This record gives sequence, C-alpha cells and structure tokens, in this order.
Amino acid sequence: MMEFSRWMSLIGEGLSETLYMTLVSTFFAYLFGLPLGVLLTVTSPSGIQPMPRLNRVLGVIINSLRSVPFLILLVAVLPLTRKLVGTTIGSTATIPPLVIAAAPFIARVVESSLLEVDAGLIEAAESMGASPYQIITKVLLTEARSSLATGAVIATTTILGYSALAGFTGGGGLGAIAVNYGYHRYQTDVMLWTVFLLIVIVQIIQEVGMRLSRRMDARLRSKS
Amino acid sequence: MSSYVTPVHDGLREEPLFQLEGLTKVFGKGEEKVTALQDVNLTIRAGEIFGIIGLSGAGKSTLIRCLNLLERPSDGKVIFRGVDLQTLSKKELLKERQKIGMIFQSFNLLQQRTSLENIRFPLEISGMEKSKATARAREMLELVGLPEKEKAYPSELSGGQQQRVAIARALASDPDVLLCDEATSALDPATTKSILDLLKSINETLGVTIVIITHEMSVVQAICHRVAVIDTSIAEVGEVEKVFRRPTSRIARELIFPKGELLERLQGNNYLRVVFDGTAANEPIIANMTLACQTPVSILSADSRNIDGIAYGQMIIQIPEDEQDKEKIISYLISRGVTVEEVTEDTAQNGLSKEGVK
Repeated sequence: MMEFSRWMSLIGEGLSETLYMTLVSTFFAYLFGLPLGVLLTVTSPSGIQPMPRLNRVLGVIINSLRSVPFLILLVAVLPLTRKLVGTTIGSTATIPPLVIAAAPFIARVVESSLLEVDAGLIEAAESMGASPYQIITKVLLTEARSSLATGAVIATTTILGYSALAGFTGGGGLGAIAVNYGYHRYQTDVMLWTVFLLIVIVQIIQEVGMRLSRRMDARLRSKS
Repeated sequence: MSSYVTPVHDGLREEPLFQLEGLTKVFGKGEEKVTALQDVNLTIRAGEIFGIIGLSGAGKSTLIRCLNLLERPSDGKVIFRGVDLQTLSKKELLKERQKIGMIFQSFNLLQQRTSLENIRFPLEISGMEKSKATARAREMLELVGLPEKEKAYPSELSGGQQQRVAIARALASDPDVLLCDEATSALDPATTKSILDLLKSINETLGVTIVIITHEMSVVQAICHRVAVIDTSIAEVGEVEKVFRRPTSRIARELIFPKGELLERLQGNNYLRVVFDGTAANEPIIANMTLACQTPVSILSADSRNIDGIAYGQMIIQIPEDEQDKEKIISYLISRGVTVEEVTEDTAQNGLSKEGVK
C-alpha cells in the first residue's frame, strides 16, 4: 500500500486526465457529429432537402464506423494519432480515436433528436418562406434543444466509458490507473476506488445534464 | 393599426387573387398511385372569405398546400396575383410565401418560443430589424386580443389562445391572404366561434383574403362568402347561401344534410327538407303550418344559425302520406317564402330536386 499523499495525487491526476479526455473528445466529436447529424436529417427522403444518394452514403459510413469495436479502432488509428499529436501514449493520444468513435454515434443521437421535431412546425416555417438554413437553425436545433442536451449527456458518459478503455493501450486517466494498479498489480482497493470515482462522475454528469435539459424545455411549463 | 382599417368594398372582391387552372396532384407511382386532386379549376377573389369543404380524403389539405406550393402540383397552374408560382425561382418563391399566411389545425407554434417570439419569427425570416419586429409582434398580439400573454409559452396557453397567437404570427408579415387548414377542428364550439369571429373581423378591417379548409358546413356558413365543394375535383362552387339552399351535387348534399346517416333512413315520399332564410325564421312557421293545414308533422331534425346577420335554418320533417295533405303543406310553406324539397331516393342520390323551389 502506497502512502496516502502519493495515492491522492495519483488519483487526482487520473481524475483530471479523465475529465480532460472526456470533455475535449466530446467537444471535437460534436464538432463533427452535430453537422453530420443535421445533414443526415435534412437529406433523408422525408427531410427538408432530400438527397437520397448522399444520405445513403453517409448512413453506410456512419454504420461502418459504429460497427468497429472501440479497442480495435484505438489500435487501427494509431498511425493517424501519431501524425496528429506526435505520440501514441498518454491522454492526448486517446483523443483522436475517441473523436472518431464518438462522432458517428453523436450523429445518430443528434439525428434522432431532430427527428422528434414535429413536422407541422417545419411546415409552418416553410409556409412563412423560411430557407432550409433558417429551418435548421431556428426550428430544428432550437426546438430540439432539450432532447439534444439529453443526447449530449448520453454521449458524454459513453465517451467517458470509452476513455477508461483507452487505459489498456497506454492512455491516461482513471481507466489507466484501474488497469495498471488494479489489473496488473492486483491492488483491488485502487481498482475499486477508480471504479467508484467513475460512477460518481457519471452520476454527476447525468444529474446535472438532465436537470439542464429539463430546465431548457419550455414544454414542461404548466398551464397557469 | 388604424392605417389598416379600410372597409372592403364589394368591387374589391371581383379581382382574382388565386387562379387554379387544371390543378392535378397524384401521389405515388405505378400501382400505388393515388389521385388527390383532378383538374381543379378555381378562382379566389381578393377580399373574400372563401371556403373549401369536403369529406376527409377529398383532397382539401392537398389543395390548400398547393396554394403556397408546400405541395407541388403534378399538373396545372397556381396563379397568385397574376404570377404563376411554379415559374418562380426558389428564392422568389420564399419571398412570395411571406405574402401568404397560413394557420393549422394543430397550431404549429414553436414550443420553445414565447408568444411574442413566435410572432416575431416570420419577421426574423424576412430580415426585419429586431426592435421593429418586436413592436410589430406586440401590435399583432393586441389585434388578436392577447396583449398580456406576450411572455407565455405555447404550453401555458389554451388551444384557442394558441390559435390566436398562430393567427397573429401569420398576419405579422402583412400577407394578402390567410390560408386556414382546419383551423378550428381541434377547438370546442365556443372557442371555434370566437376564432371564426376573429377571422371575420380581420377580413373586414384588414381586407385580408381568407381561404378556409374545413369538413364542417357550420364553419362555412358562419363566415364564408363563397364556397367550393370538393371531392378530388370541384363538385360545385357558389355563394354560400345558394349552395346551402340548393345544393346540386351529391357530395354537397351529404355535407349539408344534418347527419349523413339520416340520408339512409330518409328514403320515401313523406320527408321534406325545409330551408328558410331570415324572413321566415323569425316566425313560428312550422307551428303556423300545422294550424293552417290542420295536419300534424314530426320534426326529424332541425338546425339553424346566424349567417351574415340573417338566420338560416333547415329542417327535415315527416309529413302525412295523404297526397292532398302533402300538397297543402308544400304550397303553404312555399307561400311563406321558404325553400322546400322532397327528400327522395333521387334527391338524396343525385341531388336533383323536383319541386317547391322558391
């Protein structure tokens, strides 16, 4: 058993690395995933700008990427990772594979949120002469904002789970601590603590996220 | 607002606003082909309240969506203020749509925007400056009688209030015409009346042409000047009172007769449909008739309402089988200035009536 202060700094470092990987990856994954989700929605046959061929191609690419198990993807993109961040170990090196794995997932989550928007609202906007771009920004994204927030909670916690998996291939964070101390060195207490911390983080993201999602939904205001 | 208050002269109603020429809409391909509209020819005049009535599946919704090209016709022309809408570029069409307001059965308000923000929405689309748009939106809220609901979200409003906000939103960009797609079908009778009254006053004070799609004759009777009866193609068109008094198409009769299912039972020679206008409705005509003719009749159904300040009504009465009594009753009713027609299999099926025309 290592001394308490060293242990605390180890866990603290792991915690901050985990949050760093999760949040930065989520941000970049949304940078790609959100437009992709919008594109999927508007180009679908029933969308506001039907483009069946593009839609099908996008669908196939997204499904293919989502079919690759994350651990395989992690290894498969190592050359790309080295090119982008200069190394294949550490927490920054886990960001490219996390983004590649999460973006298509996020695209689907965004798509399902946008599909929830009542077709009548889109029709009303069209009847007022709104352009497709105006419909996307002023109707789809704003009307679905609460559902998009719920999706972001799901995406963030999923990415958090993926980031822990990256501990196996030299990534940092709580996952790496659990693997290195708990799995390789049989220090069960360390492993349990990291697992406990991961649970706490997921709970916090879930609670705070859902509360925000509810608060931004004007439909939940009751009739006065 | 005062600048908008211009009385609508009858002359204004002569100028065509919409002209539909040979409008046809076919959905699907091959085996699954469904013809929603077939060769529809129609002129809607500027300043009038025009009703389009039909049973469900008759193509009403498709027709109204063709007016602003939300639905592209398979064939035929949609001419709005002399311009063939289908010849316009995408951009020009979006601009033209700002002159065609539309309201819906399910209101279709943006749920995440307040009333004021909803009304401001079409103005944002057209690029109006925000402070100007806000002022205009407030003006519109006032017009529909909801100035205190400016900060309310749709979920905090009743159905009638939501439709008022939707009307304000549709009028914000100062359109020439307001399309109403079953706008009162989701509302209770009292709220329906208040919304119809609002539409009528908008037509009278702002001079906005109103096109109403409905399956309810009562809506047409309440506010429309003219009506088209549609069943894939136009079955008949005319002044509301004329169509109501003397429907010539089977589909119009089905819509006008109180309760469609009555038709099935009303086949025989001893039923009369009595239609009366303001002059006769004020007098107890049936009671006077039984006294004058010394014959009892039973009233199978009765229905009357106020149209443009004149009470219109219709009744289905059962009369004695005796030919002489029957003649007496019919000639009495005609002498009182009401329209009478026998309900026979023939009239029910083909819409031809044989006698007793005023």
